[in-house]
Amino acid sequence: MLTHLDVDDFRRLLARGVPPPSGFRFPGIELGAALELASAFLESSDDALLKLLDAWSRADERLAGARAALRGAVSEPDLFSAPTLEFASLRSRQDLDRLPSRFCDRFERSLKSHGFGKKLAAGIAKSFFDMADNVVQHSGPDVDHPAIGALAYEVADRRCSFAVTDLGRGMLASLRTNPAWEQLSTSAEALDAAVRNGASSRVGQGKGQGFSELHRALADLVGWLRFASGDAVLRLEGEPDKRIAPRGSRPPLCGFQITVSIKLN
Amino acid sequence: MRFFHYPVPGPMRLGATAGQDDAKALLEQAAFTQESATVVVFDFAAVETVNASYLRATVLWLLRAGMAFVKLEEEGGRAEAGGIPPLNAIPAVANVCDEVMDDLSTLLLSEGVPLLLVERADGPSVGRCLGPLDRSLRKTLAALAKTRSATASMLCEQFPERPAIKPPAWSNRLSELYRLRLVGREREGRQWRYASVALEVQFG
Repeated sequence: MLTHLDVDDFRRLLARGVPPPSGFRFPGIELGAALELASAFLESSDDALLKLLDAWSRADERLAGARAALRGAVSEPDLFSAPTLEFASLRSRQDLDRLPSRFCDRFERSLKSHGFGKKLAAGIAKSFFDMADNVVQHSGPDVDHPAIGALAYEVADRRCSFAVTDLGRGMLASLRTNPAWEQLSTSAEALDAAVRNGASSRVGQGKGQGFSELHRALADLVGWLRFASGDAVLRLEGEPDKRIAPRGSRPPLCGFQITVSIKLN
Repeated sequence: MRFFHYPVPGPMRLGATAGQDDAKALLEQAAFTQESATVVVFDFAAVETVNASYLRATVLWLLRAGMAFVKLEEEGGRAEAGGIPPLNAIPAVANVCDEVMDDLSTLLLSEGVPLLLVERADGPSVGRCLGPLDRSLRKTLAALAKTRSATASMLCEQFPERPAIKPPAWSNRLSELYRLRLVGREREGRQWRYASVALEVQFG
C-alpha cells in the first residue's frame, strides 16, 4: 500500500516533470496518504494526472472517498450505522456542527464494535472532533471562513486510523498571527512549537491543548501520529511514553494534515 | 454578588468553536459589572457529552477572565489587547453527569485550578469544591461558608486554631480564594469582607 512517503516521492517526481513509471500497478493507499494525495492535486488541471488519479480512485475506495470529500461530494451513511470507512467534507461551520452527532457518533460506535472499550472509543472520537475543529479554528482568517477540509476514519479489529486535512493557510501563518509566536520562520519550527510546546494562534489564552488532549487520549496505545504543514513533517511513533519524534520534509503543500494510526495492545 | 444561570445547550458540546459561541452568548446575556461579582452557573442538565476543548473555551475561559479581573484590580494597568477580557465573574457548574464530570475533573487537575459545583443554579446552595486546593485554603473556604461572609479578623476570632493563625494569614488565604474565584469580596472600611458563594462547601 502507498504510504505518505510514497506520496511524497510521487509528488517530487511530478514536480521534476518525471511521469509515473509505465506499467506501475497501483497497490492501494493508506488513509492519511490518500487524503494528502487528494489534497495535493485537488485543483490540478493536468489531464493525464487526473486520469491517473481517476483510475487509482476506481481501484481504491480510500482515494475515491478522499477526493469526493474534498470536493464536498460525499454521501452520508445511515445515522445509526457503524461503518469501517467513512469520509466527511468540512467546508463550513455548519459541516462542523453536524459532525458530533453524526460522523463522530458513527466512528465511536464502530470503534466499540471492533474491540475498543466504551471510554476509550469516546475519548478517541472526541479527540478526532478536536482535529476537525482545528480546521475551523485555524485554517482561515476567522472561524466563519474556514478553508476547504476533509476528514476520514477507518476501523478494523482492535485498530483504527483517522486523518484530517485542510487546504488553508498552514500552521506557520496561523501561529504567526499571535505576537507570542511571530518569530517563527519555518513550517518545521511551527509544527514543533504547536505539537510539542502547545503554541496556539489564540492570543492571551495560554497554551493550545488540542494536541495534548490527543496525546492523552492515545497515552496507552501503540501507534503513530503524523503532523504535516507546508514542507515540514513531524511524526511521533513507538510505544507509549517512549514515542520518538523524527522530523522530516516533504514537497510543500498548503494547509495542515494530521494522521493518527493506533492499535490496541 | 448576583447569580446568573447559564443553561449549556445539549446534549453534545464539543470543541473550541462551540465553546466560543457559548462564551459569546454568555457575555451578551450576563451583563457583568466591575462593582459586584457575578456568579455564573454553567448548568449542564441537558448535556451528556463535552470535551476538554469545550470546557476550556467556556468554564475555564471565564475563570481566566475572572482571574484577569483580580490581577487588574490589584496591579492596575490595562487588559491585554486581544486577550481574555477581565470580568468580575465567579464561574461554577451545576447538574454535571458522570461523563462530563470525568472530563471536567481531568481538566481541572491538569490546569491546577479549583471550581465550585453547586446544587442550585439560581442562588446560594450547598457546594462541592472540585479540582486541587491546598489544605489550608480548604479550611478557610469551609470556615467562610459557615459564616457566609466575614473579614479576616472575624474568621480569626471565630475559628481559633492551634497554633494560632494571625489575621494577616487569614487575609492572605482569603485573598488567594478570591484570586481563584471561589469567593467574592467587598470593601468594608479598611478591610475586605469576603462572601461565600455556597451555603456549605464539601471537598473531593
